[in-house]
Amino acid sequence: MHPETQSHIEARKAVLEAIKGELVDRLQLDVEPACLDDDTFLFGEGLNLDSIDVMEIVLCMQSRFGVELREGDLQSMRTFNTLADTVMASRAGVRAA
Amino acid sequence: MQKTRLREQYARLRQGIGIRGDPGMGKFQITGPGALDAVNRLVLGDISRVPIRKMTYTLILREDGTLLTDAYVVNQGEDSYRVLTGPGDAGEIARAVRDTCGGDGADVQDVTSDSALLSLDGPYAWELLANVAGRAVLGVRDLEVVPDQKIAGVPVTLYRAGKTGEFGYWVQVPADRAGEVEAALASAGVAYDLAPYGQQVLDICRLENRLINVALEGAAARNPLELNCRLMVSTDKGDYLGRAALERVLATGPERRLIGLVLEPDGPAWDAPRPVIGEAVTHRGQFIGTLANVQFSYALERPIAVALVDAAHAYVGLEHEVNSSDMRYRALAVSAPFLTNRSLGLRFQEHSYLQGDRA
Repeated sequence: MHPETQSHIEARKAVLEAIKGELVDRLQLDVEPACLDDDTFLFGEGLNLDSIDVMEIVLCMQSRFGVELREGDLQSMRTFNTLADTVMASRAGVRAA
Repeated sequence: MQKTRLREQYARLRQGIGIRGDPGMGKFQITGPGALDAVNRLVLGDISRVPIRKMTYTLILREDGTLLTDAYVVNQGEDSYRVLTGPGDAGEIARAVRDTCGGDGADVQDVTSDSALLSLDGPYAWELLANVAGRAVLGVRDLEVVPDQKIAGVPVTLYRAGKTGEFGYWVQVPADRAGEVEAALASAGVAYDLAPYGQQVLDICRLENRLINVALEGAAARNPLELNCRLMVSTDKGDYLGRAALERVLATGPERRLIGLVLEPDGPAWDAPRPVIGEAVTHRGQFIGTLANVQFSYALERPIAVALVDAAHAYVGLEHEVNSSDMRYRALAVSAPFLTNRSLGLRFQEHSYLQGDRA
């Protein structure tokens, strides 16, 4: 595998694993992080989280990853991948600055 | 209602409400003291976790672990379950339900022809339905089932479910009275610019929202883990169709995974041939997988796809290539879903299609 590809994948995997572990702990989900696919939907037919969980996700993203999400920013909270997009964009922004 | 063109059907659904006649789902009634165990032998998920008057989305596998179809299972209470099955070979599906669920205290009835399911989808579907069936509709939550309702005097059961990513409701009506309910909805729907939509629009919406299309990516997958359905798999219930094959994959992990791709033609877009299912996806010249579903997204104004690629490359943010007959496409792997649904920003108290207070 090309080193750039490898490097991107390693960075993405690390962020995804951290998000999954943190949310499983904070929301006390009855599931192993390894059973959560990256594109698992957090609400509806996926993890079936509800509006109370939104606040917990917002707090988690701020305290663990330094990312500020608004409660109404549901698009960033659709899946683990969309949360990872936000974290990686935030880190890229910090590096660019 | 007059037939409307594809793009307009799509726009009506994404901005207002679309209606779809019975899509031909199979309907089975499983009853008796052994019904719960019987349904659990049939489907991938654990039905014992489904509360009364709720339903769950799950899959039905063949013994070799491939997908036979998808299904909604409704817990009706009193040892009674309704199984609504999706696309596929109707005969094979009916045999699987009958052979797997029958006996051991469970009675199986194929009730497919007894009732019709009308589907109302769109950011304002709730408003139209509340007008014809009463405001209690507004309190119906995702995957909840409400029996004993009436529309135009016809007894109906309402299901909060859909496959478009917008607010969605199914109206189950006795087959011989479906026309009456459809007419009542059409009449009330004039004020909402209600329009019928067909299979093509449904396929586009499903892909935009990354909801599994059993007939396309489902048919291409070797097992549900390739479709990112690990969460549906129950390891603490008894035996079920396809379990042995699936456990072999669970032990090693799937070889391939489904990823979402936004396709950008590497040249003038106006004459670009559309990539097709089965075409190769490469990364830096190396073959990594094939396209499993391709649609033109009216929301993004470009082709979108899902591909089954080797698991090592199944990560968002990588740029791949699709070489489609005369055109090369850049294919960026993106997170599910492809779009932000209008329904996400809607509040029953604040918005109304009729009043013009639209999100």
